[in-house]
Amino acid sequence: MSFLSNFEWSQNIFYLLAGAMVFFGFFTVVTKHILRSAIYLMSVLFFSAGIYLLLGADFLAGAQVLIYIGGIIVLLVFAVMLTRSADLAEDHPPLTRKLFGAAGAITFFVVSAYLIEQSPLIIEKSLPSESASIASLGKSFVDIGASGYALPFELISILLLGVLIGGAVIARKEMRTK
Amino acid sequence: MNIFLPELTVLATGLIVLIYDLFAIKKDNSKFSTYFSLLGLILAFVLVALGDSGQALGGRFAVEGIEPWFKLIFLGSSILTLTFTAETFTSKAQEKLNHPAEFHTMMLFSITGMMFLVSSRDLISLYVSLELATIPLFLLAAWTKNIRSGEGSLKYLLSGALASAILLYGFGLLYGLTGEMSLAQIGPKLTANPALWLAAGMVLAGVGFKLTLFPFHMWAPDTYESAPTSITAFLSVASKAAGLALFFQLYYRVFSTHTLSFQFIISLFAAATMTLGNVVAIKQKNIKRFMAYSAISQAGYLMMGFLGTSHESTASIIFYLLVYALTNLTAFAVIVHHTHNQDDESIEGLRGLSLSHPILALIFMIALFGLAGIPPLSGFVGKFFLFSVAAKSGYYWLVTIAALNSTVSLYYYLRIIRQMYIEPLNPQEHPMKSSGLFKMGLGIGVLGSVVCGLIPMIYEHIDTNTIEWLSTLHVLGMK
Amino acid sequence: MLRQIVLLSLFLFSTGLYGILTRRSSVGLFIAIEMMINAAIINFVAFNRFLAPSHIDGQVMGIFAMALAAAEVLVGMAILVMLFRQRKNTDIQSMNSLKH
Repeated sequence: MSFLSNFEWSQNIFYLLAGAMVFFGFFTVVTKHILRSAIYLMSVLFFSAGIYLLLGADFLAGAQVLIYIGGIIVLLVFAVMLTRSADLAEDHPPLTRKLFGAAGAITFFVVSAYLIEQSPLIIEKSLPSESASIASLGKSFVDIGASGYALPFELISILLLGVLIGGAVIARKEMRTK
Repeated sequence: MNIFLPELTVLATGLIVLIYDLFAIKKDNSKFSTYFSLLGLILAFVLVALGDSGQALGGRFAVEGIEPWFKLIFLGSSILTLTFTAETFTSKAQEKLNHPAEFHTMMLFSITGMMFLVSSRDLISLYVSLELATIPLFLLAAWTKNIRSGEGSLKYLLSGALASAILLYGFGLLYGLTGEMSLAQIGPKLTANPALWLAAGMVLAGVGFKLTLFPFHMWAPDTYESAPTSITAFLSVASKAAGLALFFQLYYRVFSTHTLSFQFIISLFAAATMTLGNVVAIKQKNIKRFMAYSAISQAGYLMMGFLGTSHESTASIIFYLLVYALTNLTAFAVIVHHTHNQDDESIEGLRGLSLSHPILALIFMIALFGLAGIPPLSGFVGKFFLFSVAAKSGYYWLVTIAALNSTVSLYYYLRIIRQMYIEPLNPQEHPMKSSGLFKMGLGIGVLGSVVCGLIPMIYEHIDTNTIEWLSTLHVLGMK
Repeated sequence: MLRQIVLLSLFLFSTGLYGILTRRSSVGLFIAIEMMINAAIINFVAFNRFLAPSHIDGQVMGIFAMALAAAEVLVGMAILVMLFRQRKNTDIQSMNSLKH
């Protein structure tokens, strides 16, 4: 079941969310303070969760808040605060680099938007009423058949184990055993 | 027979090494983890060599035709890497590696990822196994835990994360164009339209980072220089092979009906990459940085193989990858041994090596000549096949550039040989002791890099497998 | 509405690109990369909803991509902590030990 089945309303809410995301997304990359940048990124991610709700991806919206906002942003803020380094906390790009970056990003955006506009990419449809249930999402993780994703699910568990072990080895204090 | 068996063997080896370390009584058990990892890898190697082709998980995982060759290259290069990594756990050099058990576990996990990468048949498995193959390498690149390796690894991590973000966006567009995740179904459904070129460009950029193609190579020299030397060796071979495997999957399965439109761009990438690698390599002073640029130019040669449309082009890429892996790892075995014993990474540190260690110097010379492509060695045969693929498709200008580049590369490889053979002995040279394991690995490497070119059976075998592999793609309704 | 969502995600991806091109602080670069990954996930979810609502492939990819992004950031933070043990500055620009 979709969050909002009324098409008009969902469209209005989408524009509201999109506007906020554009606003905060822009400030995420132009602000000088990395800590503020992290907070703006958090807003972008939070509004993205709203978009997922609008699209009927309820579980993904929850995961977004838990993993992205609760995990990744906290880690980034933690890194800035822990190190208390001015170089890490602030970033003053020179004007030439800003101009170069703006030219690159705008060119990329215009060209890509044009390419996508030109393609018969999309079978335009209004929001379909049915939406994937959380149960089918969970089932696909343990389904070893043609429509399941048991393989990547197992692989990612190996990866997370490896990252935990390796991260601990790298980050911990080296004991002098000699 | 279960077609997962080799992958599971590698994975289980990694877990056993880790758990053994937890309960081990002796503190220093680098011997156990080295030998046990080698045992597991050799077992997996044999299992891959004897294994059948087949499918599992409803077609999400498959082994067909040439995929065992990729797996053999991954496993073989990690076996060779471990033979010369063993002595870096006990050396006195600054770059001494700690935590052997975790080191081997990371490495084995990464190899598991690479092996699954070759056999994945949908975008999700492909993406996850690519990350499983690369993320442990970020950690391994920082394993010496000094500022230099940390910075190099951070640079590697940032460019790797950027590459996977770009790749992910490209995958998203592919999904949007077709509504499918399975590679076999995306391929036929893709029609030529502007958004496809955007997706293809993003995929190419993402792969370019992994393969160190020209505009996306900038992380490689710094990371190669600062990583532990044995990890540099592994990165320059296995990680590059994984990038190539990813490109193989996408090029032949997803973009199979549009490969002709790719060729011109690929030829530009190839020309720019090999030229840049060669030109910058000339003035390098640090041997690891030098090998990084040499590896970049080799990636340029490898890309030439994608210009053909027949089975010969595919076979020539795999053959050259095999030869390159053997030759480059032989060269790196000597470099690891030398830098760890002398604590000196400059090219000049090698001077007079032929006087103190004639066999080591001879082997290094053979490996460098192999990389340059001097006739009797297999490097020459491999390059010859690649050049002929480009020539057959009418890219004569590229063949000319590649031939010129090979000549330039001979010049800078000769610079090192000059240091070893003509310059007087380095007065500060420490005596070097080599372990049996190191000698064995070196022997296998040098034997392979000479013999692969002399025995035509190997290429013929790859060619037969390629024809078989391409015919399975035809069965799926591609090409 | 799908076109607008794709345009929005393209905008976020481009701002991320701008961040990559201008930032030099490693955390700043991570933030830009996270924005790009988020843009890609939005694409997957939107395509899933409008093009192939019978399967949930796009959402599955979204969840995996999130977990992988978390793993990458975790590794990055481990390396940053290690670097700060050694030194007080992790600015990419002041990487003096690696010369060009």
